Amino acid sequence: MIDERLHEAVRDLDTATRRMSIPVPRQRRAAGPLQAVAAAIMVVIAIGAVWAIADGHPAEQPVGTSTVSSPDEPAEIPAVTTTTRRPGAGERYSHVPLSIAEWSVADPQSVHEAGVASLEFDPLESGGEFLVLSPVDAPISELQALSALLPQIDESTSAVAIGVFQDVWTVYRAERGDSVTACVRVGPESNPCVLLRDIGAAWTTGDRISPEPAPWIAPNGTAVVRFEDHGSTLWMIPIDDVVAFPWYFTDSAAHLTAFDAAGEIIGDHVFDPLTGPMTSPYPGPADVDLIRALTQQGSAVIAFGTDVEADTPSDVGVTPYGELRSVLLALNDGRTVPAVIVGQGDIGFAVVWLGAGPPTRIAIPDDLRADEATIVDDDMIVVTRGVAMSEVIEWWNTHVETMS
Amino acid sequence: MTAPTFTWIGIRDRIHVPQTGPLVRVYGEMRDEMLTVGTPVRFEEFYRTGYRRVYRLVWALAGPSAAEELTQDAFLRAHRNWAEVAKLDDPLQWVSRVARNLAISRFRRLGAEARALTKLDRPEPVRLAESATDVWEAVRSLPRRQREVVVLCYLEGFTRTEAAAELGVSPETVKTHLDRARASLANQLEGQP
Repeated sequence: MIDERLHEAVRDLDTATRRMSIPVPRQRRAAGPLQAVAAAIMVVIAIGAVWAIADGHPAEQPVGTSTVSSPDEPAEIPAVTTTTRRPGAGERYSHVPLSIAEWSVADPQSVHEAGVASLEFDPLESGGEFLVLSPVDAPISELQALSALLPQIDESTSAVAIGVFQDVWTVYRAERGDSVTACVRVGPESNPCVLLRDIGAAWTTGDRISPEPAPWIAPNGTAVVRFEDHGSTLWMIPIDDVVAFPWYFTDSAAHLTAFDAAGEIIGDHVFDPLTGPMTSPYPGPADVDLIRALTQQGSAVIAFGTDVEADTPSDVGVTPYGELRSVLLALNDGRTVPAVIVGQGDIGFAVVWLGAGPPTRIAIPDDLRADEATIVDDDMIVVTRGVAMSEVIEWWNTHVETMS
Repeated sequence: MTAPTFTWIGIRDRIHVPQTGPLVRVYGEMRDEMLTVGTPVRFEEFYRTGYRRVYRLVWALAGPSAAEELTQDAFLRAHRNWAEVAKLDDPLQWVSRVARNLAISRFRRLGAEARALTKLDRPEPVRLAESATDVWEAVRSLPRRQREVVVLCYLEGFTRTEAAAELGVSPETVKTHLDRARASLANQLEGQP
C-alpha cells in the first residue's frame, strides 16, 4: 500500500515538473532598503578591514565597534602552541546552551546599532536582556567580559549575539536553557530579505567558574562532555583522563580544551588555521602529528566539529569525513580505528576515540538520544537522527570493545 | 601569549561559506559567469535538459521553497567546473549528486529560510495533488538516510545496489533504511505501525 502511494506521488511529481517552466538566470535585483542597510554595514566592515589590515590585524577582526582592540595591540590569535596545566581551583568546563524558537529583526539597522552597543550592557540592570557583539574573532578581552556576564543570566534571560562571518552578519537571540535556534542574517548586499535561520549554536567556555557541579557530570562522578544542538543533547561522553578536542571549524582560531575525569581543565590548546598546522578547516595529514601528540596526554581524543558531509562528489576524499578517516588510519599505521561520529548534516561533528585504546564503555544518561539517522559501517558509525542510543552502545560494544 | 578562554560558536556559519544565499545571488552569479566567462552553449543545453530532473530530486528532498535555489546552486557548481564535469560519463548524475548533497546538508536550515522566503509570495512552480503532497512531506520528515534511499529508489529508480553505491554504504544498509522508511511512512500516512 505504501509502495503504491509512493509510486503515485512520484508520477504526480513527474507530471508536475514536466509542466513547469525552467527559470532563466536573472539579473540581480535592484537594491532595496535592506540591501542599502546591508551595504552600509559592509562599508563599515570594509573600512574596518582596511584599517585592520593596515595595522597588521587579520581582516576578520571585529570592526566598527566601540569595543574593538587597539590596532597597536598584537594580534589576538596566538600561534600554534600546546599548553598543559592542572586546573586552578573551581575551574570547570561549562556549557550554556541558548535558544529561541523564531525571532526576527525588522530593522537590521537597529540590530547593527544594538550590536555596536555591545558589552556595555548589563543584563541584570536592563530587564534581563543584553546585546553582545561577539564576532568569531572578537578580542579575547571582550569574550572574557562576556563569559563573566553569562553566569549572571537566569533562566528567563535572553541573550543576543552578533556574529560576523565573512561578509555576513548573523544576529542571534537566545534564551538560556536551550540552544540557539534562530537568528537573522544581514547582508551581503544581495540578501533580499531578512532570513530566519535554523542555526544550532552553543556557548562554551574553557575557563569559567561554575558554582555547582555541571549537569554534564554524570551521577557516578565521571566527567562527560556534552554537545547540544537545537535544544537536544546529542552526545554525552564520559571522559576518563581523555583529551576533549572541540575542533571548531572556523577561519579563526580553533580552541581545544582538555578535561580530566573530574571535569577539571587540564590543558588548553589554540591553533590558527592560517598560521598553524591546521591549514584547512578540516583535519588533514598535517594535523596527525598534533593529534598524536595530544593523544599521548590522555587515552583518547574527542574531536568535535567534523563535518561528515560532502557538498560535491569531487570533494570526496578531501571531505571532513574522508580526511577524518585518513587521520584515523595514519594514527594507527593503516589499521582502521573504531570511531563514532555524531553528526547532523552540515553541522556534523565527530567524536573519535584514539590513543592508547578506546574507552571500554559509554555511559549514556537515560534521557539521551541521538537525533538523526545512522550509517553503520564496519569500523565507523555515523549517528544522526532517529537512532536509539542503545543501538550506538550495541555497536560500540560489538565493534570497539572486542578490539580493545 | 594567552589562549582564549571563551568562544562563541556559530556552527553553521563557521562551517559553510554562505553559498545558499538568496536566489538572486545564485541567479546573478550564474548569469554573470555566463556572460563574462563565455560559457559554451553546451552548458546551457545541459542546463535546459537536465533542470527538471534535478529540480524534481531537490524538491523531493528539501521541499518546494528550497528546490529552485538548490537546483540553481548545483548547476552553478557544474558551470564553474564545466571543463571537468563535461568530461564525465554522466554530468547530470554529477549535478544530481551535488544537488542531493546540498539538499540534505542544508535541509534543516533551509526549512527555516523557506518559511521566510515563502512570505515573499514567490510562485511555486510545481503543484501536486494533496495526497502526493502529503507523501512527499512525509518523506521529507524522515531521517536523512531514509529520505535519501526513498528518493533514490523510488524517484530516481535506483536499485538497492545502485543506491548503495551512490551513498557509499552496503546494499544491506540501504535495505534497512528502506524498510524503516516504509514503516515510518505507513505509520504517518496510513496509521499503520
